Amino acid sequence: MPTYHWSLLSLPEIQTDLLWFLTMVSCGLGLLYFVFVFIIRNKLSRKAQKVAEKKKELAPLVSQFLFFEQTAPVEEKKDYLHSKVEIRELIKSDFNRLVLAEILFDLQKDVSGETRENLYALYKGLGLHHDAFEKLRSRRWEVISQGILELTQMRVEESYMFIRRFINHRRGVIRQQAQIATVTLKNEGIAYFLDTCKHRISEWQQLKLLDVLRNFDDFVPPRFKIWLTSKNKDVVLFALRLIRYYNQNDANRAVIQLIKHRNNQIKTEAVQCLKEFGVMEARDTIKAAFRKSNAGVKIAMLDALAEFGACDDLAFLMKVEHSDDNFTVRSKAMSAINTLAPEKIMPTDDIREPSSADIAFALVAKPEDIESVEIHPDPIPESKEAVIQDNQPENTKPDNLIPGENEPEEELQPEVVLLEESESKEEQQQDHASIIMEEDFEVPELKDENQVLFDLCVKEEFNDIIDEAKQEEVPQYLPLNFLPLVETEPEMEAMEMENTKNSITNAKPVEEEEKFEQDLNSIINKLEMNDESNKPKIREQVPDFIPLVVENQEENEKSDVDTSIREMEVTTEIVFSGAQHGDGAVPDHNSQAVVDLRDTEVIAEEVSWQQLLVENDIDLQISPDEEIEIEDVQQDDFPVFSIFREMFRDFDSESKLILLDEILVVGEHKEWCFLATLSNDKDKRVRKKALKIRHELADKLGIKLDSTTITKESEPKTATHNKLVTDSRASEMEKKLPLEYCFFEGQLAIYEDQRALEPALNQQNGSGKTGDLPLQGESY
Amino acid sequence: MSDKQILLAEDDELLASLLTYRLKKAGYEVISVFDGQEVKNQLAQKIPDIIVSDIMMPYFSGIELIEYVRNELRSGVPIIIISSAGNEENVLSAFELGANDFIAKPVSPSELLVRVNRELLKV
Repeated sequence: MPTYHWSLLSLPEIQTDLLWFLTMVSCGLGLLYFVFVFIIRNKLSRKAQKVAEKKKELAPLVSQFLFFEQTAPVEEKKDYLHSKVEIRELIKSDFNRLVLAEILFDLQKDVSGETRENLYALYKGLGLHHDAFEKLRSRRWEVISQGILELTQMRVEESYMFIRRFINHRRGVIRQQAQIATVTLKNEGIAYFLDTCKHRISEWQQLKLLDVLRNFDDFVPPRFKIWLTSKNKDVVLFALRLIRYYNQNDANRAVIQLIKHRNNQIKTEAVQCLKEFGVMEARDTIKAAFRKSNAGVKIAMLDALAEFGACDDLAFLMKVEHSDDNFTVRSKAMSAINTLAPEKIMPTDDIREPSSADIAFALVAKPEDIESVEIHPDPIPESKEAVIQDNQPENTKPDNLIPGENEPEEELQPEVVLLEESESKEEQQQDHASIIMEEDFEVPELKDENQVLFDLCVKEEFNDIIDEAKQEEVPQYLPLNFLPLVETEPEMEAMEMENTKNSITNAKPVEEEEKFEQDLNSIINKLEMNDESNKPKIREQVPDFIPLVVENQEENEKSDVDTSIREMEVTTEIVFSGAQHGDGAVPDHNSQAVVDLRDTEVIAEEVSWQQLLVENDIDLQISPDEEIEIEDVQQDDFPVFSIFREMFRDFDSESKLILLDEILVVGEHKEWCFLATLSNDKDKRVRKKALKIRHELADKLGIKLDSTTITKESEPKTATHNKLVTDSRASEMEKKLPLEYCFFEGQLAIYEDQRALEPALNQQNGSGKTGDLPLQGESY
Repeated sequence: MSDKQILLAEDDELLASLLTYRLKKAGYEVISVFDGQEVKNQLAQKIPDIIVSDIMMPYFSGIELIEYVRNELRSGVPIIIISSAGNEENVLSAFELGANDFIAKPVSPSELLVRVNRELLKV
């Protein structure tokens, strides 16, 4: 533990006398300072006041001198002479001279014309410039600068020789003042300045010098090319700028040489100079000097090449565009290429190719196209875009549109080319379904962005459903009842009906039908010739769920086939059109559009599918009564969505049984339709109960099962029906059939799973009922 | 011509003196004032035959002077504006408010005299 002695910790002795002395000195100095400032300020104020008073006194005198005219009256001349004598006495005083100089210096800034010239003359006449000369001899730089400025402003040309020696003064302010004075006072001053200037010439100084030269009335510029060889690079630079300003294009060779200069600023200026003069000879030099230049110079060079380059420079520009490290240079090179050869480089980044839906949407935006299709009585338009036009919803038409008074048909051609070129067949097939979906289930209220979102959602949902359908064991038909039920407005509906009538009127269905029948007959004949052994088998595969087949069994084979083909068309029409049109013999507007939408490949597939039907001798005849009934059901039920569908997808059998009871309580027509699908359920109890509930619900809702339906349900499924389509063919059909024909698959019930269920159902019911195969008109 | 009175409003005394001398020499009666307040006082006493005013003045700018004369005094006395070069915006404002003519600095006294004569002949 250290010990401290109190004696060492004692405070130092304070010498109060010294402190008082220092305080007094500080106060004295402060007082002295304030007194000094006060005195100086008063002196300056008095001087300023004195000068102001003197100015007021001398200003009229100066005015008298400035506005004196020799033609003045004698009295005025006498006054003038008196004033002259007076002012001579006044200028003997330095102060008066100073005030006079100030007056004249200030006035020269505010007056112009003859008065200013008189003022210059008065300044020199009074000998005030001698005072300015004296200032030039001063050692103080601000005085020298003031003297130079005064002599320059008062246009004392005699001072030129005295001032120009300050051009290379060590002080920048004096130097710059002298440079401007030299150039201002005499025309040859610029030449002397450029010859002798050793120091740097700032950009601002160059601008001021250029401004002085520009304001000369009678300035004859020298040939500035002679200073391109100056040792001072700023002189070279200024000379280049002067050459450019005065358009002295007689120095092109020297300027081209300067492209090789080491200084980038000079190179840039030289390139810009050559660009302005359009010197094509400089191209090779520019290209040679390009590599060792910095980015700024390169950009200037590319700019020049874009201005006066030729096609043989494109290779160089392409190389720069590919190889240069600097993005700006590459970008400039691309710009130069596009300038020399427009559209040589097309934009590639972030370019989104329009999908077929986009193009279809763009075509929809031309309502006159719809009219053009309706006007021309072409029942089967061959081009795809015509089909799309045909399918356009009527509500896309602007209200103020007058059909037939729109753009000529030629304007359609580029869009046709665009469509045909941009879309590959794969894209067509891929987007085929989405186009139909958009057209059939259009939502008129959607805006453009919403339309795109809607497309995406529909596609995603569609893909999900396809995936689900592949995974599920139960019927593989596509449940499209997730789509919103679109209720068309009565006006729109009326318009559609009217358009359909027009199209029906304009169409030639009979001829087309006959042609189609002929084609099919030829196909059937070929098939019969090639495969006679299959014929009896085909005969056995007549589906018994279509009642009219039974009625027409007596007819001969050919008429069966013809009729079936005809009825198949009717069915197609019913399914696609939503059965809005009564005449089944004529293809309806929408179904026509769907048929038209197919490309050749799809048509080929359709033919193979039709061939398949023919091979299996599927008779699709429908009686007129049933046809109307089917139409009604279609109108009522399509699309049908039951909330129970989602529940039944994931629930276990016990839950399903409970839900079936609930369906009976709360069920409606859509639930009645949904119950039909439960005939494919894995659990036997569910199938049985579903059948029972369905019948009870039908009673509750008052749904009358017509004779044909009852007949179908009561008739046992024959083995031939089970063999309607072989496994391989079913899968083949799944692959081949266009999506829009999935409706048919559901209607024909050509799924093996369903067939597998039928014996069990028959056994359970004992009535030989086929269960609940989706009937025609009972869409899902 | 001698009975015409000119109100010259210019804050630069030297220039005002020079112009006053020139206008007086031309036979006009010139009242020279150096700021906007003096202009108002002068106008309260008597409306001159013509007003020559700088745009930039202390207390009361040339623009305000025009507005005052046209809107408050309801006078159609000719007004010539003196403005620095490049002060285009103020000049346009002055013309919109009712200035009759404009002359740029540096001023040529002879030119000003011609313009004054012309404006007075219009009255």
